[in-house]
Amino acid sequence: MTGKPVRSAIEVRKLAAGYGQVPVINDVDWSLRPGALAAVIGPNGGGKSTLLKALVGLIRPMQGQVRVFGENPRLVRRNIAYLAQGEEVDWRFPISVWDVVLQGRMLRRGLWGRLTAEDRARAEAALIEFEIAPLANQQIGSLSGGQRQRVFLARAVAQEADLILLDEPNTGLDARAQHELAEMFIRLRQAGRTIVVATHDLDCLMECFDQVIALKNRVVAEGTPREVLTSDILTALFARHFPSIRDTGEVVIHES
Amino acid sequence: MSLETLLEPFRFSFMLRAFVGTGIVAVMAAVVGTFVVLKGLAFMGDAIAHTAFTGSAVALLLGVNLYAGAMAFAVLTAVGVVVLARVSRVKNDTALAILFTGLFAIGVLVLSAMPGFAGDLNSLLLGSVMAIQSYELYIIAGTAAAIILLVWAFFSRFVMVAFDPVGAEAAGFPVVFVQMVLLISVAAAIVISIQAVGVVLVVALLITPAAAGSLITQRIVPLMFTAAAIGLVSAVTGLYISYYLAVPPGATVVVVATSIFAAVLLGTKVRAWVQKKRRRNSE
Repeated sequence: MTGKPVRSAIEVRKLAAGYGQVPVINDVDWSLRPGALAAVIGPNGGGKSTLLKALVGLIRPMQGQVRVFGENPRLVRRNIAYLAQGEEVDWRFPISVWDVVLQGRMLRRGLWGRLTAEDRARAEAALIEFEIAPLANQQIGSLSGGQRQRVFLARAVAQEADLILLDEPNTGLDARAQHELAEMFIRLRQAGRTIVVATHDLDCLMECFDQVIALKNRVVAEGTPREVLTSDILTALFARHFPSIRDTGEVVIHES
Repeated sequence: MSLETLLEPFRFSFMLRAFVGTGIVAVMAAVVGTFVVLKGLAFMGDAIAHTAFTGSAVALLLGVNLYAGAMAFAVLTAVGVVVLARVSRVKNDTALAILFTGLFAIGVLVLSAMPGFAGDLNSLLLGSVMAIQSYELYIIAGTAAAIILLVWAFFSRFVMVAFDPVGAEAAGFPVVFVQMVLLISVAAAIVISIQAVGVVLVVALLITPAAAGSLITQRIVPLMFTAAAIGLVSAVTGLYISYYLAVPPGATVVVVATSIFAAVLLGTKVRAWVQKKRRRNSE
């Protein structure tokens, strides 16, 4: 980061992005303050992953502009951690939890930097913070879904990432693991980190998140969870599904 | 087996060179082959071997060093593969198959234009380990040392890019550069292995020992050492069998490696079955 104060962690203006010549998202305007916990919601194919990839510079905008902490994302990438969807990770890869977390330091050091005792200490601290130190020697694929997410969050913390983007982290997690994951997001936010979670799972949004952007190839709505999670907006978002909001704030989508 | 039987092949200097040369390439191919197996790049290895063949044919035609020609084509293919993966609109494996079979066919045509091409074609396709010259041993040893050094220097970076290339790229890590270094190492390993087992079988030397190792261990460094040991045992055993039974050495080395893989696979299945049975009995 540049050190100068920035008003927005993320600033997106008139963004169009996609694959090949076909835009998946169009005309997206969005701004997120530093230290916020935000959710990107929408149906499959609505452009949640595309937005995240454009934010980290994995795909170039076809139109419009993306700024992360006031800069071109490519210039501040060492401060960004991106956790891809679980299906994109080879869980059979023979790598231990410790080695994955240590990669956070390697990302910080770049191609030629050597890891120091301080790097190992930081990685160890991240293991302890996410309560996965006892699993350090285990192969990553032998862990449960929730534990795997903790490992990647520990790597992001070891990387000292200020912005953490997660693509569908709740997939395959049971209710308890989802709840624990949400608690970790809150802890990271309290530490000043900005978190963006792409999800089609609407549980927990009301109580945990600061901001929600509803995406269906364009921005359908944006604001606080209470402003966005209304029956009208959710019906517009999930056209063939019927949403309902329980008294607890939990949102349930019923398939037609 | 008596000591005399073991030492008998070494009465001939060409056999000594064959053992040293094949041993070195088997170990080195297994080390880089570990990444080939982990990333599922066997098809790409095959493509590099085939284009290296064309490089050798062009080198023969131009009267330059065979290794130089093969290396140039192999490295170009390795770099091309990385570029292709990022820009191609055709499926990667389809584009790669079109590229390497086309280049391989050109190689055959180039060789056929030369007198006595059948012998060259045969040795390039199936290897001619008994014909390794002393100066070639130096080339093999030097290249192998450079590759092992490169793998040692970049090891943790190779692992990171192999495991999570998307996450690494998102954090600004030079993934394309590291992938190219890895593929160039694979290309170099293939080029110096062709003399031992030929274009057709070289992929086996890359992937079979590493695949067998992956059945034994779940840690990457032990996997590399296991693969190297299996590669070395395959090379030495294969050459002994070839010497005493007068069968083609390259093919014999590959058959031994395949047999070890089959034995390990069977062993792991039996072990899993026994463990399952024990668990049931204890319940």
